[in-house]
Amino acid sequence: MALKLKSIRLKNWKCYQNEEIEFNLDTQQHIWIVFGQNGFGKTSILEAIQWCLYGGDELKSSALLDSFNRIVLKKDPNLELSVQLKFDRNGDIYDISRTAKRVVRGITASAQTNEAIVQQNGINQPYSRECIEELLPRACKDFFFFDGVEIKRYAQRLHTKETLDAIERILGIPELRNLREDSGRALQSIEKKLKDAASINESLNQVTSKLEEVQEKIEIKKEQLQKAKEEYQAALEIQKGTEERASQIEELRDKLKDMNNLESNKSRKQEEWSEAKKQVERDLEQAPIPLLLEFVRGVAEDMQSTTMITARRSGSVSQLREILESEACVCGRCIDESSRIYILQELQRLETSGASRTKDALQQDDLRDRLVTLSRFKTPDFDSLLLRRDRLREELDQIEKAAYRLKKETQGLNQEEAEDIWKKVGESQQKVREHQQKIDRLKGESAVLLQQENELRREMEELASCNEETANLARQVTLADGLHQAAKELIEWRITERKKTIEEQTSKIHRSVTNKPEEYVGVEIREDYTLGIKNATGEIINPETLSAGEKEALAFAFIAGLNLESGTAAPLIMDTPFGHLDTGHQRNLINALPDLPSQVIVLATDRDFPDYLLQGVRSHVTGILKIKRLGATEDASTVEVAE
Amino acid sequence: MEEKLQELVAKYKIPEQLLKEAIQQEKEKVVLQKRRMVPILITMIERYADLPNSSIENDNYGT
Repeated sequence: MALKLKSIRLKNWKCYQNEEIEFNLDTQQHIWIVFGQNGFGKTSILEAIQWCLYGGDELKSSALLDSFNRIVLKKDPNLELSVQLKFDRNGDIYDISRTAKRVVRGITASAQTNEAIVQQNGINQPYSRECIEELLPRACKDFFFFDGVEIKRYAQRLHTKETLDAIERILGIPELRNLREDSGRALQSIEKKLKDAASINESLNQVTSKLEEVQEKIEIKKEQLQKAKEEYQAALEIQKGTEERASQIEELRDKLKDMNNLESNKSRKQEEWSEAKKQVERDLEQAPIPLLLEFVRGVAEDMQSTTMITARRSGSVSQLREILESEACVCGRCIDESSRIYILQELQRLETSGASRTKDALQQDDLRDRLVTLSRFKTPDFDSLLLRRDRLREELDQIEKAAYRLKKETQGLNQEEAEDIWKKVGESQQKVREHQQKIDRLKGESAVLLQQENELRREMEELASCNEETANLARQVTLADGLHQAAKELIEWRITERKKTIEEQTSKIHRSVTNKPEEYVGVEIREDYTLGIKNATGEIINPETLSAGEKEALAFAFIAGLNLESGTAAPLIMDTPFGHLDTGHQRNLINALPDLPSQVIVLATDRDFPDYLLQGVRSHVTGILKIKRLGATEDASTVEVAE
Repeated sequence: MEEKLQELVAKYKIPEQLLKEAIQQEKEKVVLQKRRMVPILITMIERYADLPNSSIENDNYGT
């Protein structure tokens, strides 16, 4: 069911005056590359395709005015432009064309867009919009017209309703939803007919009324069940969140303990450091003492010898006086009296001056003692004191850093919450159990009611079979009900089955395009089609935490996975998709192109497809086209076959 | 899909063609704003209800 673009014809569209680009479909390869420098008209081709398909929904009238070729416009102000696309779907040729005319009224100009004309195998199709919607639904255009920046939204945490609808459209879900709705209405309508026909038969009438009652009860139960399921899901989310918080807190609780230890260690170290600091300050105050120590010792020794001399002199004076005052002569040559008196007078003078010297000597002795004490001063080991102080400061700094880090990590956590969290986990688990029990109870009650409904239906059929009309209507009711039930079951099955297969395909493609195939082992597609990446440890990574390149790789894998599984592979037209990516992702995405089931047309600059990467996929490329300027004007380009 | 359809027609005792035809019609009309499928489905159901039971069973089991 592959849809392929066979040709594009552009007339007076932007820089193309009359251009036809053909894509040869008689080949096994399915990649085309259209090279063009910036401003040469690559995006103009993509815009032409989108405008031709979706008209004014895609390009507003004011913007369309700028799409008329400016060179031709000078000659003809009421110019007409046109875009014509030719698609091939399994041999059926779809020719889609759209024209617009520039209308000048006075000094104002406007653009009038005509409805697209669609021909299938040369036959005009009456509903062109519906026909285009069937070929390439506008809601899903992101899946065909690949814009690397735009598609990153598929890697977001939440999808918009439009995105959800587009995904379901690709998966073929809306037609099943419609069938469920329409078959339900058909059932109601036939049941009403049966009721009207059966009103003449009292027994049948009673059974039909009972059946209606039971059906009403079933509807009520269904609503209750739906509500209970929603409540269950909400409770499950709360439980999950609480358990996650609990496990975070468990981790943080150890950290909280570490932080408390650090705090007490910190105050102890702070005291030690302050003491060491004071010690250094004290010792520094006495720092001059060691410098003067040698001098002090010298002075003390000098004073010691002076004291000794004074003492000796004093002793000598006493001895001399004793000799002079003695009667016995010890020398044999005694001095005369006048000499003796003179000596005694001198001694007297010496003794008098000695008395005052004794006072000085006492003071000196005291000073000497103090100097001696000072000279015994023990010089502190400044190196080890400073080293100890600095070491303590470093330790303190490290403790403070570690405490700050832990404080940051445990921010918002308090002891109360830590103690309370497991209680909350228990409560949330209990709530989930209660909701589950409620669901089980409602399911049981619904099953009983359904059983009653079946029995009443059988009874009704038996009673109705007595009359041909009611018998036929009863058969119709049974068929309509069967169809309705089958549609309901089919939707659930289809969603689950599609999701599973797309998940497998997306995971496979993602492993080939990601830069981290060892780390990212798969892709998870959630209930609401949002994506998650499974890592090697089994955790699911939120895609919003990925880099821009990683997001694009993930979205590419998802879109390619959808395309592979949709069963209606549509052409993938990519406008300068790889130039902004890192070389790893660029190489991986380019190498993944040959595996896509659809036709791929890449509008590229040299940066998107560097030669070494082009050579890697060259064998899968059908053709290379090149956009060239005609003269030195941005209003005239042409597309030539390069290879 | 085919396998699931077989399972459903057996479970709900409906003709296989009725289910397939209904799905096909919905598929064709999914692009329409007003698909007006209810009368079409009723006509289809009427048609299949007119068939004898044995034809429905044959249709289901392909025998």
